[in-house]
Amino acid sequence: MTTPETPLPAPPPPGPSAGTAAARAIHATKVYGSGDMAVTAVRDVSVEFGRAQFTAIMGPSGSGKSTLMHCMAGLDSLTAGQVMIGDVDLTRLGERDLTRLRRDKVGFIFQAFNLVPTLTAEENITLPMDLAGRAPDDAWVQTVVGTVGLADRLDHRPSELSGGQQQRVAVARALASRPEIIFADEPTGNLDSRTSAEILGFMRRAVDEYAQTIVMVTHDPIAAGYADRVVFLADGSIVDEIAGPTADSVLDRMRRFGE
Amino acid sequence: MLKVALRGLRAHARRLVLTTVVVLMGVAFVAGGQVITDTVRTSFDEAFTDAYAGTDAVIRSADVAANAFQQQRAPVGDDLLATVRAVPGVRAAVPVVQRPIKVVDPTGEVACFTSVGAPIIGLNWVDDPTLSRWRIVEGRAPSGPDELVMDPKLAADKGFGVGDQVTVPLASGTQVFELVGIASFATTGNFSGASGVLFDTPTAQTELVAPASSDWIAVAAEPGVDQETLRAQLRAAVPADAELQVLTGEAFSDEARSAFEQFFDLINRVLTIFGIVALFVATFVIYNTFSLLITQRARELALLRAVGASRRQVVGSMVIEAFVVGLVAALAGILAGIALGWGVTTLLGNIGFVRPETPLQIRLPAFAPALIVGIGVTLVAALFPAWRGSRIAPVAAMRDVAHDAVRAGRIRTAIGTAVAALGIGLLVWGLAGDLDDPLTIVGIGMGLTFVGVAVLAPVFVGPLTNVLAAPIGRWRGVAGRLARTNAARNPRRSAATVSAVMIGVALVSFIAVIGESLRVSRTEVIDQTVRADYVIDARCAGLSGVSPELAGEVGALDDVRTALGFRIGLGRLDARNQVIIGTDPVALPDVLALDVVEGDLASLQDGAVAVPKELAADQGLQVGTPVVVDFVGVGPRDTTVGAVVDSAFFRGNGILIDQTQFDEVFPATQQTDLQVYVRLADDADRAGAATAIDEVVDRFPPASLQDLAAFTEAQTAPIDRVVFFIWALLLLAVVISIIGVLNTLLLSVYERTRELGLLRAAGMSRRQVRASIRWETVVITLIGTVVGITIGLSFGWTLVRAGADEGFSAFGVPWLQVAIILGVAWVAGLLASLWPARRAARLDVLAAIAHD
Repeated sequence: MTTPETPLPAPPPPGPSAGTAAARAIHATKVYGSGDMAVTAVRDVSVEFGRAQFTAIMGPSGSGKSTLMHCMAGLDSLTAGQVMIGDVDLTRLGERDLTRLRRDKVGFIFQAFNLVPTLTAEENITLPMDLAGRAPDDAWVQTVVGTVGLADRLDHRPSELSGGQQQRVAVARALASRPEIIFADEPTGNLDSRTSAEILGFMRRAVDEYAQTIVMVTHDPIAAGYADRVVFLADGSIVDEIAGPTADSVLDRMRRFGE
Repeated sequence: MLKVALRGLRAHARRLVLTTVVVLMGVAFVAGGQVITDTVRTSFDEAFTDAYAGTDAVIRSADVAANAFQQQRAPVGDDLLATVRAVPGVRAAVPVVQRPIKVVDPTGEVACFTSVGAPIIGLNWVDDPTLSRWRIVEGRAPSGPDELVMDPKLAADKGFGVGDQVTVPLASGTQVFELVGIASFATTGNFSGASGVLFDTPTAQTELVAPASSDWIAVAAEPGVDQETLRAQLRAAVPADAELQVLTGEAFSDEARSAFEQFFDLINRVLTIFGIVALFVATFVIYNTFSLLITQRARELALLRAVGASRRQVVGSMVIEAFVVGLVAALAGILAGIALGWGVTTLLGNIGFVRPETPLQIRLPAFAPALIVGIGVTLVAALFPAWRGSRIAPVAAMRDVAHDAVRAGRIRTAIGTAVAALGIGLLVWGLAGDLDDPLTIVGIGMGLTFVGVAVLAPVFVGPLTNVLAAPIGRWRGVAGRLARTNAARNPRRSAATVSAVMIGVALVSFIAVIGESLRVSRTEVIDQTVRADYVIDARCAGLSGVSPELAGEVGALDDVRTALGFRIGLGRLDARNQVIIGTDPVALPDVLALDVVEGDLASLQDGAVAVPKELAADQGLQVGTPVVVDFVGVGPRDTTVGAVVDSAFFRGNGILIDQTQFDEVFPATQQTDLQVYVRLADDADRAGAATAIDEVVDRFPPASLQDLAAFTEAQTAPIDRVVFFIWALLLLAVVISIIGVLNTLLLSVYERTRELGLLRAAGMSRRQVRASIRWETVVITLIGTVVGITIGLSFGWTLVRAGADEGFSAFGVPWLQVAIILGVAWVAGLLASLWPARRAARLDVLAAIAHD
């Protein structure tokens, strides 16, 4: 599928002061169950995700990469340690404040079922703002919609869109509220390689052109190749990282895990 | 969020249709009951206003006694008329007679009021057009002792025409009158369904009241004299010592109206109660629907939560959905209720019960309760599922399927047991305690018990399914096993469906047990106390029965040992209203077993009274206690208690006096037997005796001869009528619960689309799919039925135990009716399964597997 390239608008005003990380985990540990049944999914992880950076988290199944992301996004709670988004400590927030944080500061892109089936594409995109009772920034929404090439699909329901189009709506929704950070959980897991490339391209542009911070969990080396930095997880701990990865260097690194 | 709610509603509209229908039905019942009651009440108001519009004052005796069924008021003599007519401001004064009457129709059947159906009233013809609204429409007015007229409806129903002979059984004997005309009441023909038979005044007085006496004197004022002035003038003019009441026409009309007002209130209350029962059952259906919808939308809700919807917003969107469903259902229900009211009042109009010119009474404010209850029930039922929906963790959005985790834990068991125990406690308290309004307490008790059992249901549904469905699994192979595991796999959902069925069935069996226990109790009492071989019954309601000649003639037959008549009057014992039974105390033990606890029945021949031991205990009476018996129309008489008797037959009611004394104090119209108990001689030829008695009875309409079996049947028949009436009303609740079963199955088939596709792909035939859904439905319905019957029987048992002194001497289980209920549940389950089974079988295999 090809999407007409839209001329890029001027970048938005610069984000919050550079230098501090967009999100940080400090000695984060997550244990499921208790006693003999206890499983440590994340083991004393400390990591920082820089502003306006595209970070990929990789690792084999069961390495704890999804759990780490859920905890960092405020979807799940840590057993020990701290998670910060900006200068907010998530572990100190109650249910109500976590909800507000997710709504106002975090964007999500899931592998599937990203959209409310009864709402149109446009309504899905503005959903977080609607939930907050905030008027969307129309110009920005137009920009985002233009970027992902959805202008002519806005009135469609998710069931009338292809899988790739649905993920583009999801990307647009994540971008539309200008969150401090976007978490993407295998965003291309259900897509063919060409559509995947498109989606990853949009995410890349969001980082380059709008200084958006994105953290993506993936096990696809090609997807990871779009990132600025790859963090490798195994058995709940960070085992390595690569800056400026390419698909080949990631693949190469992964092969060495197998040895 | 409103948008999300409304969109969701639109998307799931089809899945909410049955829920809407269920609420609609309950609301329609409540609203319809309101329309019917209002319309009938208005019609009666208009009828009374119409009937007494020209009556400005009424003079009647203040000497009155009444029990729950009858009233006896002393008549007023015509000698008062001259005094009344001389009062300034009086334009006219006429005596009025209004008494129940019997008519033999051309086929020989006696038409009269038998406590069901419309009454037939005997009246005197009044010429004054303002004091009477009867108008001759054919023939002429009655004149002389051999003529009568009747209303057009009675004439048409019974096939009488002007010039026909009409046989009328009267206290003085059966007489033949000539129908000389047809008279129509106001515009309606008859009086709100009650038929009228009119004689000239002297005939009506002599035959129905007493010569030259009437029930009241109706007075019309001169123009310009207001009712209150007239009343005061009359009051001053009539003798003060004569125990006379003077009322304004308006007060009289209001009093007549208010007698019906209570009746209408009762009807409205009964209809409302059944509407609430239906809505209570509907609650479970709604609860289930929303639970299912939320389970199916778990991922959508989780997504909303992940992108920042607060819990409150999620609950809010569900509540908005429920509110809209409730609003739509309640509004449609009110419309349906108006239609229902129109239908029923039209039917009532056909029998003259509602005046054709009375418009359907649609008072919008009166629908407020129906609207509020309809919406409220939907909201309450949806609230818990909504709250649960809001607890779905946002992470669930990323998992493949969200599971509806079921915990049948100790907390649930504890809460369910506590609520049920509280309910049973209230039930027992309401039944046993001496409360002003036990019905409310009993109702709340039952409701709580149902809720408690419903809370417990997820705990016991699984095991019960395994027990009940085990044979089906063995019998029906794979389909049967699947049906069983499906019925047990989501205990919470099955439980809500089971609960809905349970409530209707429990109430139906409860009523059946009460009916059966009453029947058994009465039969026992008759078996144990009645020594007579036959009972001759006057059948018609009222205090006037058949001539004593009947008992005399039957008693004179060779094979008859005793023929003992009973007559009834009303009076007061030490200022408390009592039924007074006149009979022959010496012959009494021949036909009825009764223990003389104290004293001697022979003393009644000297003017003493016999009282039941319950009354004696209540009022501290013993043999020799001086008492004052006040006979209506005669005045107080001093006498003593001659005997204290114990007989289940009288159930603690009524005082016995000697027949001779009865005839001295009650008017001729009551010197008649309502029942004659006949005992045959020990060596009697039974068949011959029956024929001989029958020949005598035939000459005394409306008497009918009953052997003991028929007598028992006649005594218990009203119970059956009430049971069936209540069953008919409960049908609504049962139908709603069956719709609930249908609804649950439809939704769960939808939910299981993928799984069904897999089964089909794996080689399951359509027939097998249908069978598995069918048996699942039957199993769920049967569990509800079995639990319901158990609860119903327990409630019944509690009531019977608590009501031992209210006529319940035995606990009877109506096995036949229980079997019928089970059979009906089976069939209803099968019917409810047809649609879901068809849908399941017709799924396209590939599309089903791809279904999300």
